[in-house]
Amino acid sequence: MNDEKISVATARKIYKESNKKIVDESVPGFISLKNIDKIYPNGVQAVYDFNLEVDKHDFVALVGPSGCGKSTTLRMIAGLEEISAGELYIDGVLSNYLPSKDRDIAMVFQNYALYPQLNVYDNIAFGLKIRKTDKKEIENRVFKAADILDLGQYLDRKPKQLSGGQMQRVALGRAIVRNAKLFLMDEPLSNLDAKLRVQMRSEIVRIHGEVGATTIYVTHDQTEAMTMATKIVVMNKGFVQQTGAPLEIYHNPATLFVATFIGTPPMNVLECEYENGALYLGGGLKITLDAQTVRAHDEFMSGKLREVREILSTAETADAAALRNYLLPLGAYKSELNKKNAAPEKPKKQNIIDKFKKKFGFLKKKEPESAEGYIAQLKEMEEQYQAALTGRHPMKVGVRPENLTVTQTDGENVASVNTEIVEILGSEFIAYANGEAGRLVIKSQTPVEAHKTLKVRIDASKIHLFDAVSEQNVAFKK
Amino acid sequence: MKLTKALCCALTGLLVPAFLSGCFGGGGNDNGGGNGNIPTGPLDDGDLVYDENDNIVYNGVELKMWSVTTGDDAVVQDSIIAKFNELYDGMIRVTTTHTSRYDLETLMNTTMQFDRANAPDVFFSHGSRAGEYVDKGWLLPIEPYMEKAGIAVDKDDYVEALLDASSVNGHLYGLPQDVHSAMVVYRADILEKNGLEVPSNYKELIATCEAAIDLAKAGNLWIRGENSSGIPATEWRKAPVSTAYEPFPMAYGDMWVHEFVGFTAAVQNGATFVAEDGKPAWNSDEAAEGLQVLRDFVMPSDNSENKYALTKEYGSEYDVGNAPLRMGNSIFKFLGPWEYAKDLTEYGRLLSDDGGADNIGTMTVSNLFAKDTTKEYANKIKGEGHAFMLMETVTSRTKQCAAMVFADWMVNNAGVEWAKRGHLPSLKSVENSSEYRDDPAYAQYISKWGSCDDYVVMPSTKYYSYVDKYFKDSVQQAMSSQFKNSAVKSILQQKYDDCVGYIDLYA
Amino acid sequence: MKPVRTTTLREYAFKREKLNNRARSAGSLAFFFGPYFICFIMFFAFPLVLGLIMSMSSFTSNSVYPAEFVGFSNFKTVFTNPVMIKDFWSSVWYTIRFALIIVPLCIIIPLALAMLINLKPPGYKIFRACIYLPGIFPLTATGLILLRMFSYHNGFINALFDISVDWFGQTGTAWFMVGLFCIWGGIGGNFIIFCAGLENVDKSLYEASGIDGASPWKRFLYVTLPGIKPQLVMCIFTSLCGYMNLYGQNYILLSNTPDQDSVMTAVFRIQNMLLGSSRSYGYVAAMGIILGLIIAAISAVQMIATKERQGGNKRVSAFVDWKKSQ
Repeated sequence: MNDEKISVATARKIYKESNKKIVDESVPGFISLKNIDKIYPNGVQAVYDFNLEVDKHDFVALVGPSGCGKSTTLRMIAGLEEISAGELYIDGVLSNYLPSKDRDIAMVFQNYALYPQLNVYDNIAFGLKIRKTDKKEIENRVFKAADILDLGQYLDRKPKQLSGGQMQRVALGRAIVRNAKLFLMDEPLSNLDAKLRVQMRSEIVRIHGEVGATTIYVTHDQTEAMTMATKIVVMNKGFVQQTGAPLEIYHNPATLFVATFIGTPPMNVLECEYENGALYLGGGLKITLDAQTVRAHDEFMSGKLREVREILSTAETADAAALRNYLLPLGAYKSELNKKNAAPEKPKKQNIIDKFKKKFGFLKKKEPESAEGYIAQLKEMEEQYQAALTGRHPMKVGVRPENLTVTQTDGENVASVNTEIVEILGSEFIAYANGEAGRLVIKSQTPVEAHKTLKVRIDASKIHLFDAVSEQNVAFKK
Repeated sequence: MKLTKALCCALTGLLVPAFLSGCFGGGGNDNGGGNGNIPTGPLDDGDLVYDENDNIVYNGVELKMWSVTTGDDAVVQDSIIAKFNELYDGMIRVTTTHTSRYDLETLMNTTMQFDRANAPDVFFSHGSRAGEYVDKGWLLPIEPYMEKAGIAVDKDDYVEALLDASSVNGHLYGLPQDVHSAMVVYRADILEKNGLEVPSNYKELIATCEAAIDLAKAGNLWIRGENSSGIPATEWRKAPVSTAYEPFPMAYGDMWVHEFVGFTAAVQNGATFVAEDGKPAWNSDEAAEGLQVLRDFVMPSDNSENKYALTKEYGSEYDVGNAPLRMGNSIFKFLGPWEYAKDLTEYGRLLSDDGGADNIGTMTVSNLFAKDTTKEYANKIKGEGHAFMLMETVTSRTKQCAAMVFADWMVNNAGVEWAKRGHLPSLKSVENSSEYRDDPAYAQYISKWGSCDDYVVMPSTKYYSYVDKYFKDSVQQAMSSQFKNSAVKSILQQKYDDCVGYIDLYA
Repeated sequence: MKPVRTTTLREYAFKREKLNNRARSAGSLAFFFGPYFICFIMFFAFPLVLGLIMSMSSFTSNSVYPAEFVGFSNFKTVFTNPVMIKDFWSSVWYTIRFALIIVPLCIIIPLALAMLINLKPPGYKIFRACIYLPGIFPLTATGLILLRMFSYHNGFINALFDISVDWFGQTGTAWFMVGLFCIWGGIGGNFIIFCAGLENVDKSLYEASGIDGASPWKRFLYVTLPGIKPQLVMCIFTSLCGYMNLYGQNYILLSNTPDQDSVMTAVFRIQNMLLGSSRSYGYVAAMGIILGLIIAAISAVQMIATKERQGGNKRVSAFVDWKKSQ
């Protein structure tokens, strides 16, 4: 609709007629984000190419480690941050520059943001009072919300006389009374203690069921995301890693990052080498893969090789930015595990000239990016994929703790490990064990003792195979 | 915190009784301050030493004097005292400290209360304040000690007003040295060039000023002086027609006006300042008439003698005459005689190409505000005089007599040098002496300042500060445009009520 | 023979050690608190006590020490003597009037400036310094410069605007000049306090109120003002106390104004009466105490007005009623 070229006069007419709101009926979903980018004035990009569709009554969780861009995305939807590129549609209306108060949204903040001088009743009623709602109506709505949230006896208290959980409920109440189309929650439970967090989690889910508003929920706790959301968006370093239903993401992770991020205890990742349909791990461990996995592997590798070759063929003429944009997401996929293994860098001492350059560097004319580094990287990748198709090459294999079974029998896919620590959870046992293949976390229903040697069987049908270069799941089903 | 509170209360509890016991009843020194230190009989010899001729021997007597003069006056006074010290070398030596009168009162107050050991022996200050000092018990009467020292005080030779000012209940407490007041400096060259007469009384002053204004209005007034247009100061030019000419700038912010001219205008119209009981007497019709003269100069009305204003309204600014006189935008200004020497030098330089200092003249303010010049008070000038006072902290008879010798010598010998600083002698014999009259400065300008006999000072009263201050406030309000709708008499009356209110309060 | 006091070794040791502990903590208290305490006694408690004693005694012109105890007669004089009433109480009234005008200005102007600086425009640090700078200049020097600048005939301002106003000669313009002087030099302190206070207002409150639909003015009313309430209360209190004690500006600028009665503030009047002889000390001390009590009363009113209000239970009872009706 908006992409045909029309004259300026016509555009002005249409804009005025539609009450300064551009409505696009063709946009799917209730909330639609298309190619959203966030670039800060100093050049740092926080969100890359964010795409998401949210249906009505959905509960979407944006989850990821600190600094991955989830709060930024939420604030862009709320209108508290400017959208650098892309389009945001709320209920079909193009809302990039719509002021927050006109977007019909309600927001719950991490630190509650309650008005300290107003009591609970006035805090909840604030938004309605501003919009000059009738007093009787305000009272009705506030009392209803107080009833749902069990805040009835606190209505006269000021925020400083409330506990954390009560304050969070007030913040929720403030959001509920507005009858807004969209609820945005920015890590609302981070400031609460563990027990309260669990309690409030179920409260929020219950309220979502009762009120039925579309909710976008930001959290860094994957447990919260898994238990509360209908759809999860996993983010890392500004990139969307994977979008999908909780179980889908759990059983079919797209990248190593998603695999290790979702699930407690995290998935075990072991180094291995692939040759001819079998994986060879340390300590003589061998896992024979089924035909489906082998086929997926081969298809994946050849596909990747084709991809890299295609990019390289135009590398001479393409500008460095395009190459950078191809390589960047791959960096994002690399999990935090790799960082831990790298040697710590000695911080360089900055003398005064460096400090001066840093402060006034923006005055210097920027030299154009050189594509050499990127081309070298791509060439290296090409070699690796080439090797992947022909001989033995390194890969990463992941297996969830619950898919490791303690066994008495031996076998080529049975590892011998030594337990270090055992956590007794009552109904199950989590053992942290070391073996020649690597470190393993084992979840067992039967008792396990510490400082004992165990035999653990790795089920070949339950493993996930990840490309060592790009850390993507070779068997990922879109 | 509780501990702190307890400590505070304890300390307060200790301090209060300490004060109450120490304070009361211990007010000051009660050494006969009430009776003015008049000796009850003839003085004994004390520590006096006589030689074979029955003359007192002064051997290495050190006297300390505090003087109210500062600046150039102090320098001249010190040189005169140096002559005395030379003359009485080995016998009497006087050392002087000069403090400005704004600090001197406070200094004397605190010294006499807390530091009597460092109090001076001789106090050289304004004679009219003697009444207040006697009330505080600080002074010894002069005459008994003059008699003891064998010095005669010829009361007829002194200016009567000066003696009265330093006398309390008929006893003299200060030996008057001089009298001074404000005088007028005028541009003789401008008057001459425009064919105007030097005025000698009120009506002539108005006539001359208004003639100058009329000439200026018609564009025919010749002026010369400092200017910013690059014209040499000695070249004649016409006064601009656009701005009104102000022949005589005066402001109540000027010291000359509020210290001297205000009082003088009142005196010249018959006012007195102090009543029998020491309270103010200036809420009279005569004083109102005098202040009305000044008000008319600034804001002429239908009833005033002058129809033009002689001055712009300067409000509380001071030294308003200096710049306009220099530029030729005025003809007259008030000045203190001790500043005249500076003016002579300045005009000497400014108009050096054509006459220099001869272009200015000086005259006294006698008759300048008197509506009726036939009255005997028409030529009176209200000034202020200095006197030597003997402090009651001097207990040694020798020192007391030495102080008398010193005071007497100063009064008789300061003569023309002191007069050049604008301080006319208190003794008519000094004024008539050949030494005095033969000095060229006498002919040049000292004679223009009148005879010392023309001067009056504030009579003696123990309420001097109040009488003085409230009258000055009336002068200020009379000359201010903010009060132009109040009659001068009502201003005076209101200030009188305030003054008496405070006097009664403190009685 | 005197009976000998006996005690067990344990009890003795306990008593001794307890005393030592107390002495140690009291000792460090005295060490740190001592200097301040001494200054407090010397410069606050002692003059206050002395002032009280002075106000209840009469003085002669000979000595600065009280002459005799007269109880409350000095206070009675201050209230009943006609010349006292005219001078002192009129000056108190003028001072209160002036304070009522200037204290709001000295709150609103710094607050507005602080909010502007809070937006952190480029170079805001320089502006902040410039706004605070006038407050550190000495009062007398700047007062004299002001006298010159606004001089009736030779002043820069009258020449620049080609007007002829006797700024210091007329009562109305004289007070205006004092107000100008006070604002120029006095907003720095309040400004810095408000700057700091505004920084501490939770930014997410602004966002929350924005989402709730509040306009910038409502945001100011409901987020900014309550957020800086402690600073506001403190600034109002200190400004009020400070301006009720206004003296220096009036003394320097308005000593030559003809209508002294209408331009003297209370402290100026008290100072004036102190000059000359010490006869007036008793009355002056009484005036000082009366002035202090007036200021205390005004401050108490202000404190009560800005106190935190406790809830009540209006809403809870309404909720219970509503629940019942469901």
